[in-house]
Amino acid sequence: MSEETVALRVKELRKYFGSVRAVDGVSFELHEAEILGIVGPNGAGKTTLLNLISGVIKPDSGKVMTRIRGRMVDVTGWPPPKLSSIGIARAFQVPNVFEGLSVLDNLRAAIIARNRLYRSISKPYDGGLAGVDDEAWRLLEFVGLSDKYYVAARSLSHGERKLLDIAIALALNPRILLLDEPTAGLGSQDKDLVVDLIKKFRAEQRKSVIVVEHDLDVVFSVSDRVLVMYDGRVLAIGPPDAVRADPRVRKLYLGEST
Amino acid sequence: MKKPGVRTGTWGLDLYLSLGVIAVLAILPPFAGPYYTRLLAVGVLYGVAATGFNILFGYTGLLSFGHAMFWGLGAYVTAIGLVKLGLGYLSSMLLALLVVVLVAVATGFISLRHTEIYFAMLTLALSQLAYAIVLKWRDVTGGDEGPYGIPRPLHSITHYYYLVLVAALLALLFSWALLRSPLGLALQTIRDNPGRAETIGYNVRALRLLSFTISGLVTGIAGILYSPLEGAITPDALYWTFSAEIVFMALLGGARVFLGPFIGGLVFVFIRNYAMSLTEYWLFVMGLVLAILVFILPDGILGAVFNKVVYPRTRRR
Repeated sequence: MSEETVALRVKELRKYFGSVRAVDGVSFELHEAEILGIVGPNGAGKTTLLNLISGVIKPDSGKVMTRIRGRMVDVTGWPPPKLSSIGIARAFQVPNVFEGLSVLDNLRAAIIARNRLYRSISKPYDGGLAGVDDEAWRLLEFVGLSDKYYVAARSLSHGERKLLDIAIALALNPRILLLDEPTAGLGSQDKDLVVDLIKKFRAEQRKSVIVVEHDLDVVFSVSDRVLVMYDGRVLAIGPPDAVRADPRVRKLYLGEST
Repeated sequence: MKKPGVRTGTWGLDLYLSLGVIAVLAILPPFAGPYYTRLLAVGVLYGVAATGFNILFGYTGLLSFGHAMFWGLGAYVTAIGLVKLGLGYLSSMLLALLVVVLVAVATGFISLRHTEIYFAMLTLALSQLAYAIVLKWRDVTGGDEGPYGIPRPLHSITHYYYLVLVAALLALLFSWALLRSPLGLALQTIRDNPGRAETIGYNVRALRLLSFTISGLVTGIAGILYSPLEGAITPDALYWTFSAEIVFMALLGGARVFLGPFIGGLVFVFIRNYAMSLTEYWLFVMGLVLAILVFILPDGILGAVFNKVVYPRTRRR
């Protein structure tokens, strides 16, 4: 993989909480149309790393760079709205949706935000605004929620809310999708659904995905490369088979004695 | 357990209901007589005030405990313009509108530094400040007696009632169109989940301020029309208890249904009138109504009707 295909570059990223070195000098590159899985034991710094990349918290040092119009730009510490406007969108570990709005309106709201259509009050939001509803329906079908379009988000099951959360992130038309434990709390059927969704997203749109995940089966089946975090550092990074075979990973993370 | 709440998707019904209620109100004066026509006019204005309040509360998720300030300022500036400055009706009302908007932007800017209970307390504090100014600035406001002898543009109470009704119709249509617009949807995302609204690209702070200002403006318009109706105005119009009554009206009618607060304002006036005729301890009656409301009709009068009649149907489309 060459320099031209780098979509996101993380360089020596550091974040300490007091004496806890949550993220301690992490570097990696994410390529276009690549699915990168991030795994690691509890407290390894996975979610903090995602928070740093998505702008929820600011790093103590280090850089996050992404490609904007062909050039790599330093976007370290940019707030989430700005990052989503340049194509970095995130779905959350705990479904983060608009509880009182119907499924369809959740997506309309995201598309309206992305297309900056919210300054107008001359047309109703549910009256077929240019391009909004078509795309909303397409996304609903993509995540398999079109039968439930009228249900308020608060009345959905946990799995459905996860899917809706992912759909909201997709509605921002991201080039880089950040997924924080997309299968946490899901049954095996819903898990397969999410795995298929991630693969389908990459296959259809040639976009990049970072998946932070606890479920190793999910990560190793979906990822092109896997990054293993341990104590805030990168323990190993590479293709799933190579990482699985890495003796340090086996010893420290997979818990096998070799 | 699926508890049906108010969702989007009843906008058509909301519009027809609004037009229907205004139409019914329009045919009432001949049957009501002057006394009840005046009472109805007060109810309609309370309804508009509560509808304005609910743009912020029911649709943006911010509980203001200071909306009496906008009502009171609207009423006061109109009265002062008419009585003290010798301005005409239109210029007095436009001046009042301007003051309400300026005060709304300023107080919104300050109080929106916080949300939830801290926001409510800030709006309460700022409205009490406005109350104190109105009470103490005697030369201009007339102190605790307020300006009196405020003229009414249409002498007949029935005619003025129709003016109020037209204004109410316009206020309802405006609020309805606003809340159903993309901007209205943006406000609702902020109500449900401000953090997520921010991450998908909404400027939460700016949209909250916009909502606060529009909300204050609509409540202020009701106040503007109130002082010529009453002919006199006292500082009570800005006192915090009236802010609480506006909250009460919205809850009474149903804060999650578009027309709920308007119905709440109307019903409130008649409950209060009845309670006052019944006993001098009418506040006790109002307290009782509030308690019953919380236990039996948590979604308000219209909210309960929607829960029973409307939502079960829209669910099965």
